[in-house]
Amino acid sequence: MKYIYNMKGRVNHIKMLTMASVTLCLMASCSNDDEDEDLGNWIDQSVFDGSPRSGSAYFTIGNIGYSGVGYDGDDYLTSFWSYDMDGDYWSQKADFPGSARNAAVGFTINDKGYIGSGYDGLDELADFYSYDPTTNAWTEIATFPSTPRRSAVAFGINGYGYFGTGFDGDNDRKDFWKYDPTTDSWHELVGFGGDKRRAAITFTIGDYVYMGTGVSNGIYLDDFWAFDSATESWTQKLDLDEEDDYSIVRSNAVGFTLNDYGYIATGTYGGTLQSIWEYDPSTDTWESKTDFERTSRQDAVVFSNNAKAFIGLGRTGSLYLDDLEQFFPYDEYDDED
Amino acid sequence: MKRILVAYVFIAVATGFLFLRFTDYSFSTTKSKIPLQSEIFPVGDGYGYQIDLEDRVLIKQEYIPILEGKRPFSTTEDAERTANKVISKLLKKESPILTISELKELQIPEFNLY
Repeated sequence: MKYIYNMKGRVNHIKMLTMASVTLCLMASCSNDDEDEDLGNWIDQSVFDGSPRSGSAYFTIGNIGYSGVGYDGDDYLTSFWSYDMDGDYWSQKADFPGSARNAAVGFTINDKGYIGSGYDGLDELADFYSYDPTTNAWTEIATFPSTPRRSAVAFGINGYGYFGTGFDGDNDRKDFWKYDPTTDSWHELVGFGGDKRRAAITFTIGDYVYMGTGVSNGIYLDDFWAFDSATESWTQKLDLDEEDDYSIVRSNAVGFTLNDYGYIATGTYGGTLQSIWEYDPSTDTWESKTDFERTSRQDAVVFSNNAKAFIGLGRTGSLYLDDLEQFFPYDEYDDED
Repeated sequence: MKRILVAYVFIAVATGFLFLRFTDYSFSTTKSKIPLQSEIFPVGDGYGYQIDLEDRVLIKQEYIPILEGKRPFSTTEDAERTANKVISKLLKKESPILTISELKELQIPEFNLY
């Protein structure tokens, strides 16, 4: 009996082993399949997928772009990064010394960068800081003397900084101010005839700075302005909906300059936009360019020095270090790259 | 009957164990397939690091992040620990932003003051 039992047991054991090996073979093949799928996914996805960082401030000095502060969905940030346009790499620089914030402005005056104003999650802000790339150090400058605000515009030209429009927590603004770094002082600049707004853009072509887009009380603005830096006067240009096929109006876009043409890219109008429009200052006309290839997103950052332009999708710094894309307006569209 | 049960239990455990092993194996293989690497290089009287993604430089850090001024890491080990931290964050799909508390945790001596 014992022998028979053992025989049965042995038969069962063999059955079990067979089942086990079949199971293991199946598992091994399953596992290999999983592995292949994972690899494929990694290749398809951006390596740096994660929560978006938005509302970062940015400026360009020479061939280096700088971007910092912003909001990552959980926290307001103080980290500050540089992007080398020639070497195509990032570095984490000295932290922004002010409170963590987003919707701040960034601009360049004479090889120094400036970041100021913005929103810390509770209040609009009026403090400004300058960054010296030769020393990698920040210095607080004179606080903006008027109402603190966020989502304003700012630009540097002829050795001065200019800062205006934005949202003060209750109202949108249309005042413009001038910052003089030699005296570290602010003065109001009169003469802007446009409407109040927030989240507008500017770009600079030669001695002129062009300003447009933005939103106020849910209305997207269609007026477009040129600022003559020599006379500090504003001139109204043709509206952004002058032609029937224009779809330029938007907010939270980016503005930049490349080869003496101006560009308005990304942003939001109802939904987020991928479109890019090119401005020809000699004819005061706009032309649509190939849409931005990456996912549409508002509050992008752009680095441009008139010779090169890189747009990143509102996730700066680093997060998505492979997220920046160089814009070649005259190359034919190639969906392979 | 007892033996059959024991055999079943054994196979269940073995299968479970192998399943975990295979999962873990494929997981770690996937991770290592993201071709991120660090390189340490000398800068002035100290060291910097760079993080490479395949044949492209992603981050080049000649100076200690966060700190004002241009101070390289004092030792190759400091630079290497920091570079490895950045890579581990990128592999976890986190932002490679380093914070003061992380650099203190990495025992970078320049952050002992904070």
